[in-house]
Amino acid sequence: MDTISNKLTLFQNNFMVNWHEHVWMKQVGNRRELNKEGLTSLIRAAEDNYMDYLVCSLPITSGPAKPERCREANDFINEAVMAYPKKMRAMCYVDPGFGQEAVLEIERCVKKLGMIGVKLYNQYTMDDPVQRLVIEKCIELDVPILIHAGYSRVCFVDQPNMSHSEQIARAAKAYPECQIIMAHVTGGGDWMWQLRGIADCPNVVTDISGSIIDIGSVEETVRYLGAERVLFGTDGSVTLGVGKLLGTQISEKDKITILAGEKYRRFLKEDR
Amino acid sequence: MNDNHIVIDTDAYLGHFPFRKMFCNTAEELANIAQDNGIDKICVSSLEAVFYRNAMDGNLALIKEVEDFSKSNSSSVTFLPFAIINPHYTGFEKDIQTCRELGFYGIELCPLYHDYVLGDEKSQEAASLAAKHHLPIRIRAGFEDDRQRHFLDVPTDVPCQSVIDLITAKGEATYILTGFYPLMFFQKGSDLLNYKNVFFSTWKDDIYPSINDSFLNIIQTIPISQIVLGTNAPFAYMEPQFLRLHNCKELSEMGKKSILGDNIQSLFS
Repeated sequence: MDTISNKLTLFQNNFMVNWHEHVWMKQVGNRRELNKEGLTSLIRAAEDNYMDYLVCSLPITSGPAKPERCREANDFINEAVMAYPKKMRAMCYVDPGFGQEAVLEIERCVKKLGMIGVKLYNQYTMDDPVQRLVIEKCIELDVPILIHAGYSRVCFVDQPNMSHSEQIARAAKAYPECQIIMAHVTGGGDWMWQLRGIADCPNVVTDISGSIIDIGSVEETVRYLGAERVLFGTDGSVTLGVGKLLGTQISEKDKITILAGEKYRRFLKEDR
Repeated sequence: MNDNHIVIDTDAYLGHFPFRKMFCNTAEELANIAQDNGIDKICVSSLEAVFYRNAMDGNLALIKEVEDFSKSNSSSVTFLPFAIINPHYTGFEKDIQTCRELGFYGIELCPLYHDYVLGDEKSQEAASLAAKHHLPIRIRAGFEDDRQRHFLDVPTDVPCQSVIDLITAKGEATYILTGFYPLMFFQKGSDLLNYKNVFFSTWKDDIYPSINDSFLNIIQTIPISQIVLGTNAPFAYMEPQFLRLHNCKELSEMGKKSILGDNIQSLFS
């Protein structure tokens, strides 16, 4: 255990932002509430692994997400941030299919609640024209978009509108001012496909969250994108997420760059 | 590891995988990352042997590679070669005997890649022979996450029920089950807990309630004495397997040492 303890000192001694985590709601009788047990557990995980900030969202993961459901989800995530204001930051979740209502919710969350980005899920692919209003609002407010993503030839039939890297690249090239995080390059599926698709899009970064811990996956991510375009994340796979970066054979300088998320640090609102 | 406790990785491979480039897949490279993680002994099979029609060609190349490595290198890591056995290929009985004589420490069965179902007659014969030669049998659920598999790769993992069928038919053998979610074996109502010679490596299990706490469920269900370390290198980074134990407050230091190597040390002494 001494060996892993020594490796963890890199995390202990450096600024560390987890750009991809979630808190969830739970059903209690006929109402929903923030899952506080999950939140407490997440905070423990952050402390175990020396994370300075957790950036979380609460997406509706199946079907259309009506504006009132998004608003409820965003209020729950805001409740979590209020409970741990020095540790947590939030991303606002919307379904772009609701057009102007989605835009108004982004304005509410960013301007009134201090959220630092927008989370999009699998309701529409990133290059769908329906995304335009949301993208333009994010550019105006200077906040990044975290888009759920993945590619597989043999899987994801239940998520036909999940974005893959070619679709994200199309949106990124149409809106070069938009800052996009392609979620969890190591979240399942063909990570090499995901890397190749966004390699020439400087306004797209990726996070290394997810349960895939393939040797070489993080090294290849850095090789294709450069460390400054790689963010640390876990997305529910805390030990796997931390462990994979500990095991990655890249320079310590690159690891520190990924841990800090230097390119995205300005979005964090550390002085909050 | 010091104070007479050693660290044994039960789940590793050498060689090439047909569906993607591998890293750290030579003896020297794998030994380097194993040493970096404090591993003393590491069970390895040949990936080529999985895919060759005659698996023995891959097995023989593996034993040569690890022997050459041990002669030419001062690494503290010891390789424990496992032979890939295809019980549906002619002469497999002799292969097991030969592997024992050559110094292999165990065998591995790959039913999906060799197109049979565990528990069938031939796999039972292989299990009997392995038991006779005191060779533990390793069975891995699958090599890659199913979401990323190549369309020519097998689409599913080894079914738990087929593993149960083999073990209950040939309980005299010793088994190391890797890459499975161990509790799947018990959800099916099997009596696998009665078999003390079955070892389970944990894989993607975690320790955080309401996020992923499957490791906590495992250590509450399966005797610690039957849980072992398995990294699945060079497919996977080794560090998550150690980090989980490091951060697990629900497990004693003695329990951690048991999982890291004590539980299985006697098989390889």
